[in-house]
Amino acid sequence: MQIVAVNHLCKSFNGIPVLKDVSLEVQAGCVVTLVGPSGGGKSTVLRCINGLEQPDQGEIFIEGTRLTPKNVASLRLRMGMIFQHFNLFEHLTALQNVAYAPQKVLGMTPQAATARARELLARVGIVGLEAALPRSLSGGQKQRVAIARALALNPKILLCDEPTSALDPEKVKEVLNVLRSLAHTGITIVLVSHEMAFAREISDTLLFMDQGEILECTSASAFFKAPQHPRAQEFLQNML
Amino acid sequence: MLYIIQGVGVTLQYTLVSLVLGSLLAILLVGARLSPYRWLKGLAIGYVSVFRGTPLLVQLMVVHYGVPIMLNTQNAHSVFVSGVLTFSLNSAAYLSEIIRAGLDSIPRGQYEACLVLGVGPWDRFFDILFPQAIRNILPSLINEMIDLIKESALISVIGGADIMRRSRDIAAEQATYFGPLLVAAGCYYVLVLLLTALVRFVKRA
Repeated sequence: MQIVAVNHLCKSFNGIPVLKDVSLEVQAGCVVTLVGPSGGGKSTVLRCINGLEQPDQGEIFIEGTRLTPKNVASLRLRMGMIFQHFNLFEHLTALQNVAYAPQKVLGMTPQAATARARELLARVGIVGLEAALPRSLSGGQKQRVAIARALALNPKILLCDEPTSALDPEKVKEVLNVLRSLAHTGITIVLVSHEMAFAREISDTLLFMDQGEILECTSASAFFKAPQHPRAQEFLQNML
Repeated sequence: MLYIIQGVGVTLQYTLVSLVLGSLLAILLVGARLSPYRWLKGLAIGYVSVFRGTPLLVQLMVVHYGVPIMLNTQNAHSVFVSGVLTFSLNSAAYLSEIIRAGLDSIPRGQYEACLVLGVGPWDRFFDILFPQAIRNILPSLINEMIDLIKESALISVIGGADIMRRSRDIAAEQATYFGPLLVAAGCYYVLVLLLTALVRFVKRA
């Protein structure tokens, strides 16, 4: 079953086109990774899927429902989002960051929300740092808290916008390990990443984007073995 | 001398009441400024421009002497009402700019994180954006309070019995200016020093 469908998406910023007729489908429970050079429109696709950006043209369907400005708020609750720069609430502790939305948005009691937050933090390996403010956490720890925060609303889809791009190399692994533990457990993951080895390992489908177009859509193994499009070949050569 | 120092209470009264009323008005102004309605936005911009662009003394005179004549009321409102009204209106203009800058200083990602998590506008403002903004702007807010304390001396011109007025009363009585005015300056200075210490304390926290 398709959980996300994007049809003929076009989007420009200040007259400069960033998405030119982008279409894609994501099957439920799969991991789909968008790769390609910076500025190719990968993040914009992700941001359109959960309504942070409004496309100029085209349609997006989430579990068969068309995304509109009216239903974006409710459809968003089915999607968690991980940002490159974490965007944790800086004045709240790790635990409060995770517990906040379940309490305010799902109406859970503070006790239940806190218990759930503790459980999720443990799942991403944040134990003993529940009371820490984001500024005293490392980048890797922050991103893991952010993942726990996104999972707290029980999303069906997890959108990850370059989750490791702002991290020190040695912290990348701890975040990838968490994502690896989530992949193929029922949740659908749409990932934008420059971690090629990781993309190859966990993705079911790989999309290569450049200059606002999807140039290649194939299985991860096929992509890395023999990319078809010349620009994809060039990109891989530069990356590996 | 004690008579002058007792004016500290009067000065603080003007300052604090004006600060509270001014803050409330400032929040409304920020709301208007950030609203999608252009006329409301224009109103807020015009308000700030006028109150920052004219001398406080002129504003005070207009409110105390001008407005009653314009409204054609026989009995002018009390000095306290005129003073607090003018100071509130004036500091609201400055405070609204400070608050707006505070909200601007919060990275857009905080706002996006709220959207993504389904946090509504009310919770977003009061739980996430405002608590972070207030930390950034607290020093500026205290600076505004310092300005207000000093500017409140203008109330003596229309007859408020504040530090300044009392020192001039004494000066007239004793036919000497230097001593009484020095005491008045000292009173203001101590008040400002106390607030400055507060800024330093807040910055460290």
